Amino acid sequence: MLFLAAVIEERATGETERRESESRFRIVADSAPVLIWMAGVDKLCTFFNKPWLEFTGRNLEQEMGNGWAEGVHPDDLQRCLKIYTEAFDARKAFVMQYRLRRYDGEYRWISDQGVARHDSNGKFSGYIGSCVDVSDLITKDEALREFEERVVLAAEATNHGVWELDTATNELWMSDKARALFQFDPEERLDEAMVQRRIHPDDRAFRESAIKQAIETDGEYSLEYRIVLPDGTLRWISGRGRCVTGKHGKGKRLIGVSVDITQQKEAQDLFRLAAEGSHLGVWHWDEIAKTLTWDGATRDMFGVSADAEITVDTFYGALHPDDAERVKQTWRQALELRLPYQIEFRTQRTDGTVRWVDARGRGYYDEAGKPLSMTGVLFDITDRKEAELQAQQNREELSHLSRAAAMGELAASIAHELNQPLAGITSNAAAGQRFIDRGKVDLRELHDLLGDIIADGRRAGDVIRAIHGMMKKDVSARRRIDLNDIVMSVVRMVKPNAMLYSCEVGTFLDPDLPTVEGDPVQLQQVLLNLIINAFDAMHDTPVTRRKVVIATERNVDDTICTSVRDYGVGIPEQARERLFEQFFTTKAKGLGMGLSIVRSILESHGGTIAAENADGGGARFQFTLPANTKTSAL
Amino acid sequence: MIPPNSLVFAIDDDRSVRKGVSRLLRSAGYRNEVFESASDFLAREQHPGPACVIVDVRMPGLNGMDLQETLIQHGREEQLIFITGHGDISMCAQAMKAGAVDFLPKPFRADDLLGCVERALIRSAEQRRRSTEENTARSLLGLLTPRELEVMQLVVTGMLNKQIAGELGTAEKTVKVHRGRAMRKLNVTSVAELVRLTEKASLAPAANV
Repeated sequence: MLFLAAVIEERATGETERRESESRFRIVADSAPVLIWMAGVDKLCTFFNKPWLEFTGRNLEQEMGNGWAEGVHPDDLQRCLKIYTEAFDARKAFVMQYRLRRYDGEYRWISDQGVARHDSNGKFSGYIGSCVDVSDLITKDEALREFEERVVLAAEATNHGVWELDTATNELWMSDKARALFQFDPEERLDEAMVQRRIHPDDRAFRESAIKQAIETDGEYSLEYRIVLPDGTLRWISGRGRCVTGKHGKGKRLIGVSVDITQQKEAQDLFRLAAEGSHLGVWHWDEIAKTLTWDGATRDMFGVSADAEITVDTFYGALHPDDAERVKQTWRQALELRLPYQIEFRTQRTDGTVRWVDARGRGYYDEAGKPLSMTGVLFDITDRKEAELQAQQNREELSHLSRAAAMGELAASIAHELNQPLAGITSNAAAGQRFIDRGKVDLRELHDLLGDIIADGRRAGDVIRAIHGMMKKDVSARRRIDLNDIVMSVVRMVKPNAMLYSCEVGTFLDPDLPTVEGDPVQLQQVLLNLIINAFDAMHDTPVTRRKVVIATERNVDDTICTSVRDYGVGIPEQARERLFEQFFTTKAKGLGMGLSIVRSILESHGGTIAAENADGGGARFQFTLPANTKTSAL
Repeated sequence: MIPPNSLVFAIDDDRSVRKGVSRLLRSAGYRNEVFESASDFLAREQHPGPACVIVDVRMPGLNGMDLQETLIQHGREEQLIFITGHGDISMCAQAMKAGAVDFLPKPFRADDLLGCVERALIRSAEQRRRSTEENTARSLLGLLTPRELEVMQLVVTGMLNKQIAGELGTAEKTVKVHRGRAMRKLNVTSVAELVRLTEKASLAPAANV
């Protein structure tokens, strides 16, 4: 504008014929796309070009002298006149913005630049000015300023200090928060060197090079560094900066935010210390960038070297094949359902070593619930897991031994149970042969005879299967079972023993018993143990009083109670507490394993067991198992 | 050979064993009756002819050993054959000492059981016969006067009349009269016959008493 005004003025103060030049000037001025005015030495205006008159919608006469001032917004007028007269008196150029009423009544922001003009003799002859409508620019500038202010406010509200560095002058502007952060005075003039002096000597170099690189590449940086405050306090700062080039007429600048992260950093350090101390691995998954980060301990657990690149495939590849699918599923599910998760799985290192890991994690989500990231910890539980497996193995081993022992005690019963049907079979078969040999074959009789043989054969098969089941080592063949069936099968098994002990065995079975989910062999073992214990307890009981009663009953809370009651010596007070402990026994030849195995079997079925002395003498062992309430199509 | 009027009993709490044994006995031509328990058997009136009882050792209530004891106590002569699902040496010994015919572990061979039954019935018939003779002999001996009995007890030891008279402090002639009267009462004609009779009556010769 200034340039244009100067050209116009040069023309206006042309050397040649004044009038001629004036009229030519008018033609040029009228065709120029700007509003042009001229004033004489008395400050009063003598000329307005056509665009001006069209803009204001007034005629020349109205605008002449101080007439134009009527169109200036009342709020801006005083300021305008002041700038104008001061500049005029000093013969200086001026620029001012004011609102000028347009023909349609709307006030528009005008930028007005005025310069003094001189005639060919160099004599001051007044002012000439040119104006442009800058409303759109002004509003944009204002909006931008407001936006920037809002950003700063928002940043400050979250304890972020905001700053702006002019890269050419090294002049630094800092928001109040930023000044407070670095402990600069609110009014102090700042530059980058002052900031650099606050930085911890060890961190200066990398911060400086990061900033330098950001400026050179018009890029960004994000750093964590330490500062040392004048009182010697050390603070951790997280700084981010971005290079912004030449907007709004400004030079290359670096704008950024800084925040004090000392507390997080300390917490992180503590966490890291704790993590290192407890072999805790830490990992982070960025759902957006699809990047996975592992710390050293995590790398160790997966057997991945410290410098190897980690991708999600590294993770999947390091999983034990048997666990991989389960882990992936848990992970995706946790992320989708937005739930924290916990899972135990195995990792398999490249050298083949298998480690057990306990992993916990949780996801982070945006407002719409879209997953952003997931962070978690891992700990190596191999030792614990191995101990657990060993313990379980031992338990199974012991359980097997105790079952074998129980079977030993039942040897007589087993033999008896098998020999009965065999005796039936051999007798019937021999009878059949004789009938045939004697030539008196009653076919009806023969048919019945063979039927009896088949039935006995089946019966013998059942016995063998039951024994096989009892002697089998492997466990957890869980299925839906009726406890009454279990009771009856065990009662049948112990019947010969009962006879040997001259003991009556009675049952009170609830006919409306729901099923339970369980291993029939193990539950048989439980009952077998309890019943044999009951027999043993009645050595000194008079024969007429020797009796074991087994009862099943459905409780209101959907559990099933099974009790084994005897009329023996009862439970000595001092034994009650320790009854279910391993190696605790009151029997001369007992191992002290029976009841502890009974309890561990029941607990593995979600059940409990208790013992008490019954009214009228003897003991009652009572165990409770959860009923299978799931309705089934079966 | 099946002794006439013989009857076999089988007692077992296991139905299929009862049925099998009963059928086997029938196939071999034995009349038989089966019982679920020893007390059911005891409730039946005693069979007058030769009889044997096949009994399971282990049963609820009275077991096989209990039954043996009861039968002995009541002087009954049914012969016992024990069968057992799970043999027990001490029980077996006890049963055999108390006069059982045999002790068979289940599953037994049919021929073994039938052999036992045959032996048992023969033994039963024999015993029955012997006890009948004993009863006859005893009642004959019961006809003698005390003096006649004294003389006869010395006769069976092989003493001469003269020696007996010396022993009893009486005349040889008196001994001769008692001896003749007793021989007539006992319906024997020789010393040998007399000895057999006293043996049947389970009376040992006086010298050995």
